[in-house]
Amino acid sequence: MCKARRSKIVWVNSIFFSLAISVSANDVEEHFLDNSLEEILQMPLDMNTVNIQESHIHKKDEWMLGYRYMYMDMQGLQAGTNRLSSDDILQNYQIAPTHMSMEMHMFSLMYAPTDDITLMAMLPYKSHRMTMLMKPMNMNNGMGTMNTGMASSSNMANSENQSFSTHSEGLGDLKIMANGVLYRSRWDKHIVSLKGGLSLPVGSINKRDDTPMMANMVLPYSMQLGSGTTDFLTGVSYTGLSRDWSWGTQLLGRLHTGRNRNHYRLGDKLDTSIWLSRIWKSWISSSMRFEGEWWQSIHGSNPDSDAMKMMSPMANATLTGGSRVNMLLSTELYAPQGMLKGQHLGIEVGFPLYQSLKGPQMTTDWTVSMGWQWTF
Amino acid sequence: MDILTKSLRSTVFTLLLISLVVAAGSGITYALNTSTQKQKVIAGAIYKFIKFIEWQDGSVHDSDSFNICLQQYDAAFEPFKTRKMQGKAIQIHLLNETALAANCHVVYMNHDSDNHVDLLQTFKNKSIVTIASDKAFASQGGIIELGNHNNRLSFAINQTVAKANQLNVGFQLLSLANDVITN
Repeated sequence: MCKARRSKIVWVNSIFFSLAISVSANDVEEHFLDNSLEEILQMPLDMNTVNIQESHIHKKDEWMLGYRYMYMDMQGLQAGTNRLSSDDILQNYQIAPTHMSMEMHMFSLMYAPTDDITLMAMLPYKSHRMTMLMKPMNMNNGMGTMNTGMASSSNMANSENQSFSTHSEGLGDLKIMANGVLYRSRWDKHIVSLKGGLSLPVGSINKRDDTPMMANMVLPYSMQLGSGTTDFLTGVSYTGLSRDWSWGTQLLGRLHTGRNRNHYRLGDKLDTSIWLSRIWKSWISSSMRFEGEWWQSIHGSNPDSDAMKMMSPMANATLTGGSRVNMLLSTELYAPQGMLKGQHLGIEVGFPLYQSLKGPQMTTDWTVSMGWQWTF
Repeated sequence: MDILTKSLRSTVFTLLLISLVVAAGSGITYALNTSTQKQKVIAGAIYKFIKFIEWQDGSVHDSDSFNICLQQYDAAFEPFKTRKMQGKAIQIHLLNETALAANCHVVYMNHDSDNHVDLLQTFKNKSIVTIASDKAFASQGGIIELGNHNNRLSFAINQTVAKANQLNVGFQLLSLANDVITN
């Protein structure tokens, strides 16, 4: 992890817990006896989770503005459930990825035209970085002709593997969704909602970077920022509520359509979550969530990547499917009144409990996300 | 270099985990004697409800204090103890002190039970404002039924029972209710 990113995470973490302490300190005298009844009836009873935004149901004419930072750390490789070393990969390929970091800044806006429908738009800004090892080229095997002399990014000694990294950054795909209440029990103790929407291809599928083999080389599928296709989003969620607990489950599918300009379509994805949350006080809650992800391999392939698929498993479109089960723990803070009234902060840390990858693919090690949202 | 990177990564990750655990732990410890947002909103609303209700039988006038009775302790009602209601100092009592039940002006049935009908019989025909969040509490003879609509507090009032028990509910409160039972 680079120094800048490390200091960024520590910095955000420090702000988060400083806020927690300040909100906590202000809480001693907190009550709503001096507010008007109209104001009290407008106060939220429970915190909408920052981490599962698609499940939100807002009251009529309510807006929500949100920002969430997500970081995923991927280290090493895996095929099926078996871990593979770089040496294992380099026996069959010229290049082995060793580390990948995926950062995302997600901006979201929600509005509820009625009590039963919440509209949402989400636009991510992504930054991906992949570090790879390349074994020394045999100049007699024909590969030598690909070397364009990018010595500036090289640490290579002729007899040693060379480490280099590539980077892509920019907007991801824009998601527009509607979440509609299908069933709500009296007093909202149980709510079932259906959601549907579109993912519009805003993110680039033509990200390139310089490598020791070639300048301006097309980057692997996992380094691209968008799908390149218009995708359907659909799902269903259930939320339950008692005095101090809330729980829920959500199933969300992303169905890709057609082929993008680079002649491929990302595999469809199914994402399911189940969570339990305890509301400890008016300003703090904690949650445990299990998330299951299943995604298909890419259909078709990018001809530019095909030229590389014998050199690196990351360029092979058929090695992109998989499934994963994550456990995520989170803490959320909420300011019910005062200067920060209506604002939420959340932090969530996740670890994979199980992953099976149609690989070799990079293995997810851990994730962290920090979110802020403001309801008004 | 690789060892150094791994070491730094694990340090940051450990720091995050410790922070999460400390935050959750301190929250849990602090929460034991305090209340949730929902409890505070309900307590605040009850405080305001009472201001719009008049006890026509003179029971408040004749009492030394204004008595709010709870089925179980709720820290959100602690701030009431420093306040006055209708000129009387507010006192919070627990309903298990049965001798006090007859002197309650307000009873909030805050125990996690979905059926307070039996308990409601104790207060039948008495000038006592009964409040609970049970389903159909108002239609079963309770006076104020609390609920949740889109994460906001909502309430229903049984005006018929209130009138029968010599409780005059102000029109301001009736106008904010989601449902008013008048038959």
